Amino acid sequence: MTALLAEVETGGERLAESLSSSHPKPTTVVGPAGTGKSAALRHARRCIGGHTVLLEATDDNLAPVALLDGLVAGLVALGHRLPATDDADSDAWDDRVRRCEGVFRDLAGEELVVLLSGVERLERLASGGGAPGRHAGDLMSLLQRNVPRLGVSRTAGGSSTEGTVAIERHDLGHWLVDDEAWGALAPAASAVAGRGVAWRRLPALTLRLLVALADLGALPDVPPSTPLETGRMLAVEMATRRATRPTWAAWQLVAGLRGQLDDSALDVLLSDLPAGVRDEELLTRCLLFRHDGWRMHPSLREVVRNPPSAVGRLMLPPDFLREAGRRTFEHFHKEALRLRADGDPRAAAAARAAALDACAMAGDDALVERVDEELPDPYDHVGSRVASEPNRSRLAYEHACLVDEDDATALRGLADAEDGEGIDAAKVERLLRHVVALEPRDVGSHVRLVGVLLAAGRPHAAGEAFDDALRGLSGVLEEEELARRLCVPVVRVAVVAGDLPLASRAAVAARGALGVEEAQELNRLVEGLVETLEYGEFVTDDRLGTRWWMAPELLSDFDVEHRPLSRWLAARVDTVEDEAATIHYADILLPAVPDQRPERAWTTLALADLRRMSLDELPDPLPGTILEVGVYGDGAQRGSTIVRVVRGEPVRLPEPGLSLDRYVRKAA
Amino acid sequence: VTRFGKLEPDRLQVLLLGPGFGESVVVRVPGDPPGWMVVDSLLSDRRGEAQCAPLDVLDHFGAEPDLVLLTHAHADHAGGMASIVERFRERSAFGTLDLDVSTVASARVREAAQATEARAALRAIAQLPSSRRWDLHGGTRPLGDGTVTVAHPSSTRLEELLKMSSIGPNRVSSAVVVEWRGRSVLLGADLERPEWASLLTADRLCVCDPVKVPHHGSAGAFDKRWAGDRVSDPGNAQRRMLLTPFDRHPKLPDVDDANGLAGLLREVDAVHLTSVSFQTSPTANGTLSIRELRRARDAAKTNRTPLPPVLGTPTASQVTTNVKDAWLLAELGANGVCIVRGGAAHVSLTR
Repeated sequence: MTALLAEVETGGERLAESLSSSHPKPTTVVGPAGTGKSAALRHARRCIGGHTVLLEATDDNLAPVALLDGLVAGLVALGHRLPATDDADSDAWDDRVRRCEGVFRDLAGEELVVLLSGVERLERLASGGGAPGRHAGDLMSLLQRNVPRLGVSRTAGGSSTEGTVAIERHDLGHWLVDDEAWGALAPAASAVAGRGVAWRRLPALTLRLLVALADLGALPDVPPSTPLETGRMLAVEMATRRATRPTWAAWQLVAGLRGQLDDSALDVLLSDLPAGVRDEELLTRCLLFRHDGWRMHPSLREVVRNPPSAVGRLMLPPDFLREAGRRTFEHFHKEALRLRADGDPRAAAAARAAALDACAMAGDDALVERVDEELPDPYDHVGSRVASEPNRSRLAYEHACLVDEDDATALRGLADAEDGEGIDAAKVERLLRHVVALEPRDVGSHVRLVGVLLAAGRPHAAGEAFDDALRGLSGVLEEEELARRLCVPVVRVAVVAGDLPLASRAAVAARGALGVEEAQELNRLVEGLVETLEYGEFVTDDRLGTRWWMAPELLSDFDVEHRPLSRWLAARVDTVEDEAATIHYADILLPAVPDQRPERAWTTLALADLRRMSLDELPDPLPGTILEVGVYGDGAQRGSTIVRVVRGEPVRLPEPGLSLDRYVRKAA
Repeated sequence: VTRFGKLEPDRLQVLLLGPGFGESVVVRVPGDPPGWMVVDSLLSDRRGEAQCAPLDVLDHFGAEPDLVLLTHAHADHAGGMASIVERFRERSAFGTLDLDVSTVASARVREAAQATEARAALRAIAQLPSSRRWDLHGGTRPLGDGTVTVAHPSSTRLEELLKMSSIGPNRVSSAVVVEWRGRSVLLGADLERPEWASLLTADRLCVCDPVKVPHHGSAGAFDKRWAGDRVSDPGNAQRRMLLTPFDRHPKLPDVDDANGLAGLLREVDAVHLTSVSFQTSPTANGTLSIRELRRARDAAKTNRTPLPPVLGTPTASQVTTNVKDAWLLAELGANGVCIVRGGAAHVSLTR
C-alpha cells in the first residue's frame, strides 16, 4: 500500500488494517519529510493493539543501541522474558542481539508487529562502517530475519530498498508529474513518468537520477537495476559534459561530508565553484534532498568514492579538495563552538562530526588536533553534561561503549564515573587497562590506573602499572614531561596511599628531570617520610629528607667567647615529666660527613637547665618541639652549651583528587 | 632452606622476624596440609624494591598462609601488610579489629589508624569480602591440626576500650593463642598490662610455651598472667620467651626496670632476643647475662665523646638491625619439647 499522508490518522488506520488482515503484507509508508509518517505509525500501533513494538530511530551513532534497548523493553512489556545466555564473557551488544533472537524464535507463529521509523538512518549508519555501522547492520539483519511484517517508515523519496525488507513498489507517477516538485526539471520528470508503470515503480532515488539523465538527454532505454548503477551512469554524463562539470564537482564536494548541510555550509563548501552551481536544479532536486538540511544519499557518495573509470581523470584535484576541506572545517568548527556555547549539545556534536569530515577532506592532521583540543568529544560532552548524576553519566558512557567498544574516550569517561562512585575497583581497573592499551600515550590514564590500584589495596599491581607506564612512555615523552605528567602524580598518590616504596621509586625516576621543582620537592617529601619512619624526626618538616646534619639551622658557628661549635644535637622533645624533658636526638660531631647519618640516642635533662641554656622562649606545650643543642669548645669548663628552638612550617601531604578510601566505604 | 634450616614436619614452628622496621611472626601448625599463619608484617626497606620479610619467608618455604592477622595499627606491625593482602587475597582469611574509627574515643587510636602505612594495611583488608575477613574480637579458627583463638580483646572488653579516651593502640592489640595437640603458644602482640588482667582465659596463658613476649619486653606489658610464676610452678623456668626489640624510644626491651627483662628473668631461665636494639661493645650475641648486657651497653656509651653533664646521661646509640640476621625459630613437638634457634644477631639472655 501507499500512504501519502494527507491525514495522519487515516494513513495509520490503513496501515493497521493492512498489517492485521488475514493475509498481511509487508507494508511501507512513504512521504516527504514532516508529513507525519512516524505519527501514522504510532496511530497504527494504537489500532493494532498490544502485540506491537514501535521503534523510532534517532539521527546519531547511538541509534542502534537505543533501538535495541527499545526492542528489548517492548518485548519485555509484552511479557516476553529475554533468555539468559551461557556465555557471560561475550560482547554485551552481541549478547543482547542473541537474546532478542531467542525471544523471536520462541515467538515463531505468534503475532508480533514491529513498526520501525527512520530506517534510512539505520541504513546510513550501516554504510558508514565502524562499530555504529556494525550495530546498525546487526539490528537490521535481526529484524529482517525474524519479523516478517516490518512496518518501515521512510523519509523523502530516495532510499534504497536493497537489503532491507521486501516492500511493495509504489507507483510514484503522481510525484513525477508534480510540476512544483520538479521546477525546471518538470519536463524531464514527465518524460520519465511517460516510460510506463514499470518505470514509475522504481525506487525514488533511481527516479530522481533518471530525471537528471532525462534532462541531459541521456535517458537509457532500459532502467538500471539499482540506484548506484544509475548514479554511476549520471556521473559519467555529468563529468564528460563541460556544462555540467561544475555540478559533478559539487557532487564530489558534498560527498566528502556525511550528515546534513545547512544552506550556509553548502555555500561555503561550493564557494570555489562557478556562480550558479549552488542553485543548479540538477544538484538541489536530483543529487540532494532536503531533510533537516541538505542531504546526499550514501549511494551517491559511493559513486564518488569508487567513480566509473570514464571519469577518473575528471575528478577534482587534491589541492582543490584540501582547500574546500579547510574552508569548510573553519565553518563547522566555528559553528560547533557557537552551538556548544549556546547550550545545544546535539547540534554541536553534529557540527563537530562535520568538522572532522572536513579535516579528512583537507588531509590535515593539525586540524584534527585542533578539534580534539578545542571541541570536546561528544561522548565527553554526554558524560560531562550529566556528571552531577553519576548513574546517568555512567549510562551514557555505557551506551557509547556499546556503540564502539574501543572508544577510549567513552571508556575513560566510564572509568571516571565508576571510580568516582567507588563500587567496583576491578571494573575500573579493566576499563583503564583497556584505555592505556588503546592509547598508550594517555599518561593521565596510566596515573589513574596506579591510583585505583593503590586505593584497591594492591601495591604490587600499582608498582607494576607504574613500571609499565614508565617503560612505555620513556623515549616517547621528554624526560621532563615524563617526570611532570607521570612520576610526580604517582609520587603524590603513593605518598597519600602509604606506599612509600612506590613513592620512592617514582621520585627517583623523576629526579633526573632537574628542572621540575615539584618533582624535587616531592622527592624530598618521600625521603622525609621514610626518614621519619625509619630513623626518627630530629629537624623540622622542611629539612627532613635532606642532609640536614651537615649544619644546624640556627646555631651560630661561635659562641660569645669565640669558641667554635664543635658538636650539635638535632633534637626533639619527646616527653616532659617531673620538671625534666626527655629528648630524642641525633648526635653530630663536626665536621659532619655527608653520607654518614649521625647516631641517635635519648637523654633526660632538667627543664630549668633547658630554659637557662635556651636563647629562645620555650613553647608550651613542649613535647614535639624541635631543638638545636650546640656544644661550643668542650661544652664544660672551657666551653658552653646553647639551645635554640627551631620553628618550621608543617609540610602538608598532597591532597588526593579522590579519597583513597572510596572503595573501603562501599565494601563496608 | 639454608637460612632457617629444615622444618620438622611434625612440629609446630614459630618464626619471629625483626626488627628491620617492625615485627612479624610466621607460624606453621602440622597437619595435612599444614596450616600457615602470618601475624603482622614488617618491611626491610621503604625505598625502591622494598622487601616484605614475611612474604620472603613464605616464598622461602613455598607456603601460602591460611590466616593473616594484623594485631594493631602501628607502623612497625603494619608495614608491608598491604602486599600480603594483595598476594593472598583469594586464599587467606585476614583478621584485624574491624573498627569504625569515628566511634573511637581515643585520639591516639584514631590517629594511629590514619597513619599512612597502617591506613594502607587497614584499607586493603577492609576491601576484602566478608568471607575473607575475621573481626578479631573473640572467636576461634582452625589452623592445620590446631586452632587459633583470640585471647584479647573480647567483645565486651572492646566496647569498654572504645569508650576510653586516653588509651593507645597497644591496648586494643590482638593477642592470640595457638593450640595444637594439647600444647599452646601465646602471641602477645603489643598488649600492655592492664589488659592482661581483663582476660577471662588468663589461667591458660601461663602454660603457653613458647611465648612471643608482648610489646617487645616493655615493663608496661609484663604480667605474671602470661609470664608465669617460678615459685609456685618451678617448671615455669623452662618456658621459652621470644622477643623482638624495639629500636626507638622507649628502647625495648627494658633492661633496667624491675618489671622489664629483669622481671621476666625472675620467672624464666632465659629470654631469647632476635637481636639487641643498641650498639654494644663488644658486639652482643650468643648467651649473655642481663648484667653483661648492661655492661656492654654502658661500655658503648663510654666509647662516645661524653655530652656536657648538663645534658644528662644519654642512652646507648641506637642501631637498626638487618632483618636477615634478626630472627628466632622455635620448634615445638607434641611432647612439649621446644627447640629455639636464631640468626646471627640472636641473643639468649639469662639472669
